[in-house]
Amino acid sequence: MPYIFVAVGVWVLSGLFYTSSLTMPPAAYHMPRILAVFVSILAVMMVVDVFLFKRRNQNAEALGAVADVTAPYTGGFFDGVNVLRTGAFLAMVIIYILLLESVGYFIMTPLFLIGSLSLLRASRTWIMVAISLVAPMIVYLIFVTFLDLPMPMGLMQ
Amino acid sequence: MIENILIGLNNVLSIQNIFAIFGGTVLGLFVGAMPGLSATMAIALLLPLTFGMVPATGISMLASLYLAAMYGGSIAAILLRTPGTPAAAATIMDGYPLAAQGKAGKALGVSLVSSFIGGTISAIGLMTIAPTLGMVVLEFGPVEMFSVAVLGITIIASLSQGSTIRGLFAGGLGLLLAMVGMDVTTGTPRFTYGMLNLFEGVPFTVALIGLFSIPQVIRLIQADEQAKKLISKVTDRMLPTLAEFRHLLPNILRSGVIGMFTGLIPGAGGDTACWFAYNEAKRFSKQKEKFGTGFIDGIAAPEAANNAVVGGALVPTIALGIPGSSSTAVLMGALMVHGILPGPTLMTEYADVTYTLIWAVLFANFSLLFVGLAFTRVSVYVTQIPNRVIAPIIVVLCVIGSFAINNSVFDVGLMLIFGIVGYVFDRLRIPTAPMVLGLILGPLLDGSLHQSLMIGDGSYLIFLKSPISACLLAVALISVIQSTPAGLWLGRFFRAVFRRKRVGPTE
Repeated sequence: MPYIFVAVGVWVLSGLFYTSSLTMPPAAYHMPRILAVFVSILAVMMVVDVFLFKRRNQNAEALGAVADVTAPYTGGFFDGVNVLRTGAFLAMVIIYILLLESVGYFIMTPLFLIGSLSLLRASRTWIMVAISLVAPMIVYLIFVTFLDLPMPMGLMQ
Repeated sequence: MIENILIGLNNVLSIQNIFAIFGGTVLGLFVGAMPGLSATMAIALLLPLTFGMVPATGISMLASLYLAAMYGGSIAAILLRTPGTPAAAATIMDGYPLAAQGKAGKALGVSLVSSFIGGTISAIGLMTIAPTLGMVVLEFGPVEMFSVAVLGITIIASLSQGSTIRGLFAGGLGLLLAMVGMDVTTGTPRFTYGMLNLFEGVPFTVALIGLFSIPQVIRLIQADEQAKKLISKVTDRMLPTLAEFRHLLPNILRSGVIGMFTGLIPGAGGDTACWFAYNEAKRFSKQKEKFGTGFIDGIAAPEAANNAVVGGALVPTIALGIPGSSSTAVLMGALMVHGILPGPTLMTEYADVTYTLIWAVLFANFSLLFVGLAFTRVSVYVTQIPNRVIAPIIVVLCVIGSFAINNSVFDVGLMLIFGIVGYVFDRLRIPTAPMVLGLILGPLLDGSLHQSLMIGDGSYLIFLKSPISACLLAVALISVIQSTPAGLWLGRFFRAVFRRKRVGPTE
């Protein structure tokens, strides 16, 4: 159940914060300790709430009743998700971020754009190439030329 | 106060601020018109652009963008039967049927005029309510500010989409993450684990960009590309006739007021107001059967309401430091980026920026009317851009925007982590707005707790000794209880008690 994974993650985080706070002076640990306990309790309550909801609505689900959008999500986490496409896209984003500083914006951004647009089969080839070349230029003009904000230049520095 | 109002007016009329309002309106119109892109995401994504601007100019641009995106959302709703923003959901009911009758221009024109009037009503409301409420808040000390922060988190958690438990969980997690960084009172680094980048805390701008943009990107690449060619041209006249305008005016005014008051409630945004106003318009109408068939009243009501939400939602943001919606939470983040802390100082120390923002909201409505008339026909083409082209471009803007904040790739990685957390939460229907609010209000809550405990000699009873604080905490408790099964049980119990008392003497 996905909620259990979220709750476990939050318990680990709260536990880590609570243990780290043991070496802090009282003024520094007051609030974090209260919050760590509070969030851990809420994580348990959330899991129980979802469990009770599932039990109450077992029959309705079996009959295929339309679920309320505010109700907890009771399906599998990857139900209806194109895992391959999303995974490949996120991998591209991670590679883009990792190489951005060392290789630089002007090389990595067009590569990322053409790679991801091709992966998503977003449009015709010439349109994708044009977007990959023009979009980084526009972003550079706005961020650097117009607003004087920093940009990782990497090899082109 | 009058002096500050005039300073704000003077500021807003400067050339760069007029350009910022105009630019923000154009951007908002186009972003809002693209289905799948929300106003909140647009503000978060463009927030780094304001770093290079003076605070008043940057905030004015973002506020105009927010307002224009509300109208922009109706363009996709009317032409594609897909709301550009969640706040335009009710506009589909009559907007698309009217456009399908070959009157797309009229549908968009009614939407534009209603948005203009609704937005203007709320801007006037903002100008009158916010300073008055702000004056009251000036009397607040750390004890009351702590309670205001608690109230903000609990109200937004209990009113946001999903259960109260999930809302409170997200809010609590946001508060916990806000504890990362150097403790201001003792100078102790907390939960940084040797990472220098975390000494100043989790940069909330980075978190905002990740939480609101990356989940949207993943959703855009997930969705199968639909043919977006339902109605691709607007050929008829846009502005309504004088007779139509006279017929619509009472409905627009009522919906504007509904929108403004809905916006005042933290957690209830344009998506709630549009349905509320639509239902009220139907209830008051003598031609109820025409609703859903392309009736202009069904377009005017939700559009006036969703634009009126903007001014209403800014009232608690400015006066109390509690954002009325996720978009205003991001706007509040923008203020903090410029070193302006939400709360009482907004009406004193930073009154020039605050009043400029208030005037900017009013002027943005006039800019919207002008931009809407000039660019609506052009923006129709924006609705045709495939989602899968937009998604990678948003990623580039997210990456470069979060890098620009501290010139650090660490922040970009953090943005991606927040983005993935946002997507998981979104999928599990855990609202992210309370988490953002927790991140923003965390330092205020922590600081005011320290100060309050010092005033109260370490006793937590200090929060009950102040009547204002006690009242605020009681309202916070009630807001949590009323949205849980315990609230339902208590409601039934009290109703039974009252009924017994009423029936008792006659028996």
